[in-house]
Amino acid sequence: MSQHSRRDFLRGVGVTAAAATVAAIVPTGIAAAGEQDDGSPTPEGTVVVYLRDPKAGTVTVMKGESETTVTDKVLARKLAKLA
Amino acid sequence: MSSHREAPEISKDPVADSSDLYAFVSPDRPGFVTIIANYVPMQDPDGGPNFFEFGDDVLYEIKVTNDADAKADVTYGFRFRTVVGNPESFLYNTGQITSINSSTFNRRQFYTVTRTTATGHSTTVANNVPCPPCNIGPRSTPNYETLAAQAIHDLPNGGKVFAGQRADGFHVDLGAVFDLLDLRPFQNLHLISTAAKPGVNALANKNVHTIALQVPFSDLTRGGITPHDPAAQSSVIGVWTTASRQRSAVIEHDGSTKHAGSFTQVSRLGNPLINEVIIPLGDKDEWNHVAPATDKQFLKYYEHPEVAKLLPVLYPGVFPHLAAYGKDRIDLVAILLTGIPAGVVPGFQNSTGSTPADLLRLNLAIPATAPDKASPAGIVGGDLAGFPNGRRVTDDIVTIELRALAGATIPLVDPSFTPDAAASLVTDGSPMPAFLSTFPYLNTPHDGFDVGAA
Repeated sequence: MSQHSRRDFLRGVGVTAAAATVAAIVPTGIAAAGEQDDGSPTPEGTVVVYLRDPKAGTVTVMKGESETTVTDKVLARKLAKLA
Repeated sequence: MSSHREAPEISKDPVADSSDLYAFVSPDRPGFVTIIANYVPMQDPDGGPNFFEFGDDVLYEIKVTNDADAKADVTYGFRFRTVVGNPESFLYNTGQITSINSSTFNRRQFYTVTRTTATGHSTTVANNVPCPPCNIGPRSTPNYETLAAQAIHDLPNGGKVFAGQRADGFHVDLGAVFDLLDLRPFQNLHLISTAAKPGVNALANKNVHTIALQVPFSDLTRGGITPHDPAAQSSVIGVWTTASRQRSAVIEHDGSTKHAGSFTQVSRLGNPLINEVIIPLGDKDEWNHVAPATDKQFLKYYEHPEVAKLLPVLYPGVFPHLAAYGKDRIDLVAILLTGIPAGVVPGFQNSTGSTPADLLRLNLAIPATAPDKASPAGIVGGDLAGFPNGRRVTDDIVTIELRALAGATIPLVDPSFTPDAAASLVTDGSPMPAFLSTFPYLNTPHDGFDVGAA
């Protein structure tokens, strides 16, 4: 994902770049750099990952009309590095 | 305005902006209640080529509570879908629209209605039914009333539903009210005085988009009863409407938008004028996002409303009794937040218990007043079938609430208070528009051609 598209996304959801908050739109099946595909099924449709609190590791994954919030500091750090 | 553009954030999102809510026992159909929720306010009828419509990305809901917790027991959800017939044309209509199914109706909307109970049981009660077009003008939408009638759809149990453009039924002198609470008929008494003049209806030529629902009492009441006893708490329902959007929206480079996430409430409306003039600027956006059951946090604004403090300042010497009244306005708390308990107004109550919540409370056991005998002043005019017992399209809300805020309703709970003489006279003087005598009651929308030429 290019830096340009991430900026567009941040504008789209009204999240300011000044905040220590990162959100990413994840194309189906993307894996973080260096990780191998574990073969689990990939979701269809748009998935939005919202790094709500990088320090606490709070990540919200939105898909369809539902969402799940998890606390995963490793994932949060990886997402923050991508921003 | 009742709730048109009433908070900073929702004023930028008219498609999701609830502007008026009505709930009344249908005067022409005993045993059925009509609920009308208006959205997309302040429409100029000639606003083409992209005329007004509901949002496909908005979840519109009408919620009803039938017990004391101010939480929804019955929810009607409305989701819209837009279909373009000929994307090669810029035209909303490629010829005359003579039927709701005309092929010349180039940008159509369809909607689905679901009914969900407190236990989460959901039923689709209308599936993919069409909206009428906007009223473009006599060449594009001749016989508009026929088109609108084709957009009234049957629901189970004898109900009806309509979703589409209507003339805005609210009337208010916006230009005067928001010019330092000037009331033209009394502006000779204003701090910055000019000669008194008749009021003006700023919405006289505006349209809205209406969701209207008419269902039997038993679809909304606890235990599916048909209420007959005005004194019974089970005769009272509380109604509000909400609009919600998904939590994320991504604008793609081709101009399309992708949505994901749960729906979050961005607009709500129960009683008229609450977020408009009771809730202060710093809390308006939050008020739109929270549920009525949490309204205790806003109690202080009802107990000491800003308008009641402004009136004596802006009309020097006119409201001395109001100026001297320092007690909590428990009259307003009862009328707007908990319902009027038994014993305050003879033969009437619409209490939903002690949970403070902004709900339009309707006692279904009070029969509708015949339209030619109905008082636009509602209960303060001696008509128990009018506001704040629900709200009819013909209730003169601005005048009723102005008089209540000016102290006219304080003696209901505090007999030691004598209202100022002006409290029973104040009004913005805006003339009432015309209405229909049958569902959906709000009048035929103004057409763009004729309003544009006026």
